[in-house]
Amino acid sequence: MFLTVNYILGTTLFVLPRGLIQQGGKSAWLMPWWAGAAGIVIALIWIWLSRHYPGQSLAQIPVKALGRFFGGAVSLLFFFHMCMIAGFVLRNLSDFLNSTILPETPKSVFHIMFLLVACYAAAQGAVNVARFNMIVTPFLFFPFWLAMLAATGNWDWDRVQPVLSSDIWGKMLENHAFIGFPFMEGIVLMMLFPLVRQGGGKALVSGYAVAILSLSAMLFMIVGLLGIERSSRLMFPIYTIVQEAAIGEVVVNIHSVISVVLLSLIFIKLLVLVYAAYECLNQLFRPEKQWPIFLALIILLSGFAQTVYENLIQDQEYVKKYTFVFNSFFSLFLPCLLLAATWIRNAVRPPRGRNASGGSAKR
Amino acid sequence: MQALRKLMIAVLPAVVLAGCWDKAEMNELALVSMVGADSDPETGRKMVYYQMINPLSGISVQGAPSGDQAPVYTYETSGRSFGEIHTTIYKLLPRKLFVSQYRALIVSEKMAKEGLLDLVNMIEIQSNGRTSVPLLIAGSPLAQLMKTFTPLESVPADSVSSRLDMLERNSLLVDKNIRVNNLIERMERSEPIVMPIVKLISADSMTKSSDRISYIDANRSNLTSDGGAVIVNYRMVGKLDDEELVWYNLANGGRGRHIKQFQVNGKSVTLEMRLKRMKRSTEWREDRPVVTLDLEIEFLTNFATENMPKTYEEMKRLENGLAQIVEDEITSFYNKTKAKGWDLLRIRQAAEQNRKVRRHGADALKSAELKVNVKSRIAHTANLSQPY
Repeated sequence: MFLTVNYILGTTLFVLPRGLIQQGGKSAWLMPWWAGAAGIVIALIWIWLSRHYPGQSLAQIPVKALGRFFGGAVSLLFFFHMCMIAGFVLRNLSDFLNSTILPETPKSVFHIMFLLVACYAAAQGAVNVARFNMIVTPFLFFPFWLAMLAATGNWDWDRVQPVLSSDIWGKMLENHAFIGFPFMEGIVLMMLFPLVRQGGGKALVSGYAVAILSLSAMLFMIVGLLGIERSSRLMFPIYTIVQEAAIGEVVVNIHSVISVVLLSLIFIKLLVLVYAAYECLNQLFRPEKQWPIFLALIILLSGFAQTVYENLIQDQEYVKKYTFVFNSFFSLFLPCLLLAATWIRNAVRPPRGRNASGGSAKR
Repeated sequence: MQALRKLMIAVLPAVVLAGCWDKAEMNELALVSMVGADSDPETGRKMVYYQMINPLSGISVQGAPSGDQAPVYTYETSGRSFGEIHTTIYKLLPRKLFVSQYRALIVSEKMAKEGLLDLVNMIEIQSNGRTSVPLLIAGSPLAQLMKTFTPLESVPADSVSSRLDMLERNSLLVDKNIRVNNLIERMERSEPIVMPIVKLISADSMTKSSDRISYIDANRSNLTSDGGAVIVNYRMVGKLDDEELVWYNLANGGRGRHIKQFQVNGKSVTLEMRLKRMKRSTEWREDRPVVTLDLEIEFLTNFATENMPKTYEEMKRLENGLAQIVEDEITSFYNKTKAKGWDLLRIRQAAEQNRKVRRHGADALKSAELKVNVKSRIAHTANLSQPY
């Protein structure tokens, strides 16, 4: 569950608050609810799909549903989707570091360093990914909210009042990109479904719920602490909030705490993506040695990250216009296609055969 | 092979130890303690004064200068825009400019009148440019102001910022919303703000730290705060004197304990004034918004040496008299500033909280009316029950 939370929050906390507040104004904290609800509905489709294929991951389901050739192609599409998201994640990360604390370090250094560590962790298997996440979560949760609490000296109720004054409902419908990112990207977590002992779906949905809650609380705090005027302009509002927090006279620069927390969150997202991409290839082609996959991933992803967008302005434009459509293809169209294929298959062939083959193909 | 592997293990972490590109050694930095900004209206050139902490004076560590080292050095540089200054400064500066720890920002009156937008953008555009520092308006020539040492607190920035803290706590002369980020927020909401004015007591400046520490006269060319500058739409449009500042801050929820002599019922009495509770509410009455300002003020008799109420009736009379005075003063302050077009009590913002007012649009706000209700309470905390 917490993996889902951290995965969803990953880059969202970086990239989205500004845009959301720009659109939602004082009631921006309501926006995650709507988008999140839509996200959960979409997630239910994936869960439904995975119910048809117990013990199968996202890479294996298409092969089962569409056959070796077409299914493999679909799985590869998913693989590219993961790489694409990972590229975005890496680039967001290096942009953040470049524009805040480490302006002179080349972007590729961040990309390759992060990828090296992520590949090392992913090579140790999913248990490690999960365990890492379990250990790290409290260390992210408490410093983050403590740092935010330290900033509450700047709180002003005038900034959030009057509640529900703007045309929030219309704005919510307008902002469909928010469903695309981050909620639709959760499809990658289907790679981990076979590893969850039971109730993977329940964990996914409750993870979504917690992520929505945190995002909403986060937006509420940003508005209350910075005001919509500033937070809709600042690149990284959360960073600025903590930068302006002061504990007494001495402790004035505690924003490095936030940097580390945000970096860890991003790292978790990257870790899941790298693991998923690796498993995707691994399950599809079942090579004898795994290290070439990792080497290829590092080269591919660092290249992706370098070229995924030219600058943040282009990125924002992309997010606004295409994210929903693009992610819908992977998160809505393909799962629905697979579901449809499953139904047709079940109608043609008795379902018992599917179960038997499903069991034998398990890793 | 084994040796190679060991070597690899030893070398690889060294690669991962990042920061090779962005490493900054403490003794390669020029720590800025205070920034002064000025501009020439004719040529449009921007002048910036940086007060750098002198590491050899040891203030950053111990708080006391050693020997005759100046605690700070003022660098003056200019450019066509504020951005250019980050290049031109290196004609003078042998270390890396490090601005993120500065404590105060002083802007010349000339520039404040011309507009602060450019400067504010310049601070906010940098990820390490903290906007949570107080912004002051210079009442004397900025060059002199930036080149004068202060007694007791040898770093002028510390002196200025801790004085602002003192004034915020022990007077109603300084608001707590005097930082750059407060300015931005108010300006973006089209509300005015008042920033403190700082100036030199005498015309000459104390440019030598050894002079400063060897003269007894602390007043001589020291910095002092004097009134406040009203800023509307990033431009300084006028001034408030100290008396007006008291009512401005009180009506805006200032919590400082201000001691003031009042003339109540023909007698003078010095009381410590402290705001206990403030509430602003808005009603839609007779086709216009009415903003009610409810203030609950406590008056302490700590310094009431002139006279003290003896009976309950006397005390009640004093309380009512004080409430009346505060109501009148705030109302007259409101009317005076309203005539100038400054919404210093932020009536518009209060009125907009009301749904009906919002529905009537911006025109309704113009006819907004202010009602001040003051509840006063005397608290006897003095050490004498009656003055001799």
